[in-house]
Amino acid sequence: MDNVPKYVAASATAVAMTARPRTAKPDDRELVRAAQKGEVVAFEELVRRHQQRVMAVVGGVLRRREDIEDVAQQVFMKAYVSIGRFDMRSAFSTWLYKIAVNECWDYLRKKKVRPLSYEADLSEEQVRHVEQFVSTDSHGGGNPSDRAELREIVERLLGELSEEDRVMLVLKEAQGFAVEEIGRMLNLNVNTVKVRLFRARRKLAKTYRRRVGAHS
Amino acid sequence: MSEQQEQKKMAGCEKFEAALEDYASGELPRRDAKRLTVHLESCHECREALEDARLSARLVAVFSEAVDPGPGFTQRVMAQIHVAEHWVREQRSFWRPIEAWSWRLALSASLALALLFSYGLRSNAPSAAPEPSGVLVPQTDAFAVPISAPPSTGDEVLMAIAEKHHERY
Ligand SMILES: [Zn+2]
Repeated sequence: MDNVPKYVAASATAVAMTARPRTAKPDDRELVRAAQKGEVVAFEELVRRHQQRVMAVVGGVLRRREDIEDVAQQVFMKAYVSIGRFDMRSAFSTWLYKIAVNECWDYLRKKKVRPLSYEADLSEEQVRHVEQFVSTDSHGGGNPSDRAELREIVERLLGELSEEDRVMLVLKEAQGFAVEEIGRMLNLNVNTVKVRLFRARRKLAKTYRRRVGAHS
Repeated sequence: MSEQQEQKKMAGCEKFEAALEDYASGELPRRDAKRLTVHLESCHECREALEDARLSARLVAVFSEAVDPGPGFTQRVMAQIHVAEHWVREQRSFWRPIEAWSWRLALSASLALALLFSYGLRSNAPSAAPEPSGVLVPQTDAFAVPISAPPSTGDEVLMAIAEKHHERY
């Protein structure tokens, strides 16, 4: 990266740490405070720390994998611009994930992403494929195209859920977010998240039985 | 079974829904788990619901492959921020002279207006309600419509850039 300026590429350990021994890693709050004062290296460290989870949030909402990185970058741009207004009343990660979720909804709205033709029948081969996956402990087949096909099939089954329920289920079950985190991201209380998750699971299972189980 | 029939059958079991969610993910505290186990022994519907929950978990697991942003991601974000910041600085230095110039123009326009107005007052002194002079109209317009609209804050411009990048897909 030739066009990255020196101060950006500098190590984040250069961030001045207040009231902490030099060896200890600064926590998020310290980095946020430094970033709010305009220290770019502090913000860079925040990006490094949170990029994986932000990708997981964005990946949980968006369908097309090729969009995920673009939107994740956008999330950090927005965070950079508005970090001065972050009042630290929540964890930095919570604030960031909220930006991520909103950015995803915006993205879907702008792109007017149309749902796949969910009701189209699954082919016999697809039925066999997903049944085999369910009945074994495999991770969805050895090669990437098998896994991609499985994802597409499950995506179609998930199409019968509301967008928000689908997102909740994927964030919880595939991306490993806690119900508390999901609640904060979507502004829902924990109990509501649990109940809705549970109903969404039931609905998905029913769709599966109707569209896959019925063929066997 | 229709959803409605289902709800009816599950009536009384709703209070277990949140607990079943925790139970299915292995997060239910031991004491509550004991109570739920007792209920599960006698309730076919809840047992079935739990089976459904497990089946769904298995299905959704197809998405669990981690999306790895790779080591270059941070650099790309920071480079994008750098480009945007640079652009904002350039815009500021471009707008500054125009901004100063527009203020000067607005100042002289208001001065001219004040002169004309005081002149008009003096010359129209006998008439009670002077007709608005045609000369005045374009002058007042100089106030109604800002001559230049420089970006108000760097944040807004950065946001605009961020949006612009976003439009690309
Ligand atoms: Zn029950």
